[in-house]
Amino acid sequence: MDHAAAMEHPMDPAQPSPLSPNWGKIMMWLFLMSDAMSFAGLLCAYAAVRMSNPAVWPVPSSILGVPLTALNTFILICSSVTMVKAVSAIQKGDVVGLKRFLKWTMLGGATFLGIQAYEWTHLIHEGLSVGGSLFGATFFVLTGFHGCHVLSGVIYLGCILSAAARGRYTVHNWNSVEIVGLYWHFVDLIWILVFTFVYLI
Amino acid sequence: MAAAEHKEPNYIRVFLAIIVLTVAEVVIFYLHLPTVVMIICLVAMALVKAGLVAAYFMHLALEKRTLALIVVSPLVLSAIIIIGLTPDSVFSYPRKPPERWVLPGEQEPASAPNPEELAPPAQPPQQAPPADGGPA
Repeated sequence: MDHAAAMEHPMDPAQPSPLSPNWGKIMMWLFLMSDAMSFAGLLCAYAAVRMSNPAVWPVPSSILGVPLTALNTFILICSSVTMVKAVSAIQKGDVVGLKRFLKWTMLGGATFLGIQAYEWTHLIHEGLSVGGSLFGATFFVLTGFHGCHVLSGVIYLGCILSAAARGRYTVHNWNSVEIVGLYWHFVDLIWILVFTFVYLI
Repeated sequence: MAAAEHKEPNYIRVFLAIIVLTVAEVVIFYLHLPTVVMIICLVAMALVKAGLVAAYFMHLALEKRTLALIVVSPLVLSAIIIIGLTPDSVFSYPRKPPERWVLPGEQEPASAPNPEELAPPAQPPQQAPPADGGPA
């Protein structure tokens, strides 16, 4: 056995690659973990800034509308359910159901964004701003960063929907649908935490 | 992909559990409990909800155990960040940086000029109002 022969197979074919067969799913998990670190950083910063300024920190619910946001949370959770329905439809080969549930999911995301835009407009008219107070800065950065994720998610779902309309997904090929689902549920998961930490506590 | 065939969780039941927890959170919020009790309840419920979404909607409970381990372990680190930040944010307000760092094993120089002693009597009123923590 000389070196050249050993170099021909740098990877032992008997060892399964960590990236196959669902490499896309693992890459999405990798991205979501780094994204989770971004949100963890923002939430830690929020907690640190809030705890070190108890004298000037307002009671969040005296400024923010909890009922409207609770409704928004409900809408986002519902859109997560339509997303799992979309994935389970294409796993059974039901393309029509896939497209229908993807549309419902996008509608849920768009409604969420609409309500958030309404809330922001209202708050800005009331004088809350990024530069005006620590509360405003952390609030807009946290909800804005999450809102950007929802917006990207709606666009991402639109891409998957258009691919589905062109007949790309079948009972044997639905990895991309599952991956967009992972992203969408992650956005929902983050909102559950943001809702609790920023609005309720 | 055929390998990914697995028993589908009951999504509607998971959904109902999350909705019930959300309603409970809002109810607790309006009950005006003591702050510490409220925060503990809300954080616990939010973590349970997030766990349900990850475990069932994102199929983490149905994947290989390794993936769950990879996903959960960094979150422990972020919990350590929070614990590490807490003393700084809670106990040190407002704080002035020291005039001079004294390293371990080093004696604080006795002859170091103490600004409070050297300062003329007119100085303290200038220092007296520390930053009030930004805009009210």
